[in-house]
Amino acid sequence: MTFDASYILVSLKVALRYLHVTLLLSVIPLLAGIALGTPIAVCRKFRMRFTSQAAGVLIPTLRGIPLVLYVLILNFLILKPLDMLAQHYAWADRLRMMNSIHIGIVAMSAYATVTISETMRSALNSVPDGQYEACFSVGLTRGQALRRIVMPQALAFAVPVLCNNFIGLIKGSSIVYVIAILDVLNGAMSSAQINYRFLEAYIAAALIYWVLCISVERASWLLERRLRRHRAELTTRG
Amino acid sequence: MIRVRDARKSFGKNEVLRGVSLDVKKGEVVVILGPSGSGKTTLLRCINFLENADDGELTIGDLSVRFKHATKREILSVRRRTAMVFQNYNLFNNKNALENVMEGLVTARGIPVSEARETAKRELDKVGLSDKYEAWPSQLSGGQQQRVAIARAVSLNPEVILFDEPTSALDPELVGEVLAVMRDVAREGITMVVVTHEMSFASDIADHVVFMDGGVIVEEGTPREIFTRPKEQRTRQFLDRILLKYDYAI
Repeated sequence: MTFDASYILVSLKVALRYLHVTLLLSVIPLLAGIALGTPIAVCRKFRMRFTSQAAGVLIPTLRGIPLVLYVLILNFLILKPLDMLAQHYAWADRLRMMNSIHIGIVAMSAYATVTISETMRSALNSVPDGQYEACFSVGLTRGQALRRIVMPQALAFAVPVLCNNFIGLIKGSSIVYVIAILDVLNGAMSSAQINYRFLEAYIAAALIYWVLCISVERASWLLERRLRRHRAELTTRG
Repeated sequence: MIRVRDARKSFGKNEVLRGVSLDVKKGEVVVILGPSGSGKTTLLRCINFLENADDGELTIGDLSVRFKHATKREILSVRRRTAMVFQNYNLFNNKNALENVMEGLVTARGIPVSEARETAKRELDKVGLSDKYEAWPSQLSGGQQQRVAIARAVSLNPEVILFDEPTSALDPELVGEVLAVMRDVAREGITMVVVTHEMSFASDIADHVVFMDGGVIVEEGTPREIFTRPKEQRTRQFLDRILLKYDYAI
């Protein structure tokens, strides 16, 4: 069977129907990762009791687990107890039948939280201690210092890495085929199940991922430029 | 009025402050001299709790706190009665000059933005930066940054401004503009505690000079007493080295 580019279009059409799944599986984990990872990074930065110690042990451990295992393990951890509960309660049965996309989102979010907490930690460490001291010297509290001065600067450092994390999540989300979620990759492949044009299907999926990642990169570049406007003149200074 | 009693501070086994007591009257300019490692900066940083002293007592106006047992609330109120000018300026990098001065007024003091903006403009005008309101710290020279930092400190109208080697990181040609601004601040009657190596500034402006070495105050007195007839051997050695008296004949 020779390569036929027209089948790329066929697969593309099918795959695009599942674009929202891939987006759900990457955007929500990104937001969850920022929302949960940032407080973890702050706790570790300020060496808060208990939380920072717990995070200091947990984060490095969890970081050593591949994404596919997050998906498999969480799939198991979520479904097994529900199976047992479902034998007794009707509501558990409904949960048990929930869309596996939700499990995928939870698993991706857990993975993103671990990754992004490290991103935010390094971003926080990039802000010089003098900035905190200046905040304290004018009478800001730690929370005010973080919100007004440190976080905006840390975010400027974090954006390029967060962009990397996001691209990682978009591409990584393709791994959810192991729990039978229909995303862009799986959708493209489903079209190939019928016409056996696998290479064309793979190329179609690759094209979609490529466009997604390029857009993210471009958006990140614009955001970065905006966040660093105060550093614009850095190079012109003698 | 500032009173420090028996401040002690160790970093590990290194005892940096071995019981320092210091009195600063209202409106007075106190200059702290001493070789590096003598504990001058640490003393300054302990006064606004950037370092937690191990022991001793601090009084600022009507507020008395023990260094060791200071609560968060006490630390905050000490910091809101003091201001600091740092060696490395430490302007807020994500704020322009005007916002740098406004930040403490608005966020810490709760002053309305419009009022804070007027105060900030007035203070920036006083340090000669009326054309730099919108400039980012990265667009300013070291001397200009330090002048913004001084405006930021003065605008808070604190009971004391602590200057931690404010000219040490500057190019020699920029030292003058910062010292001139500090002279103006002193003339306004603002209480100042200054750690510096600028001897001419110390002798011209200071009301009181403190010489520290090895974590204790070795000698203190008026500039005239300290510079012309120091009592202690160590003070004399230090001044001879710094002042480099050219008393040789050719």
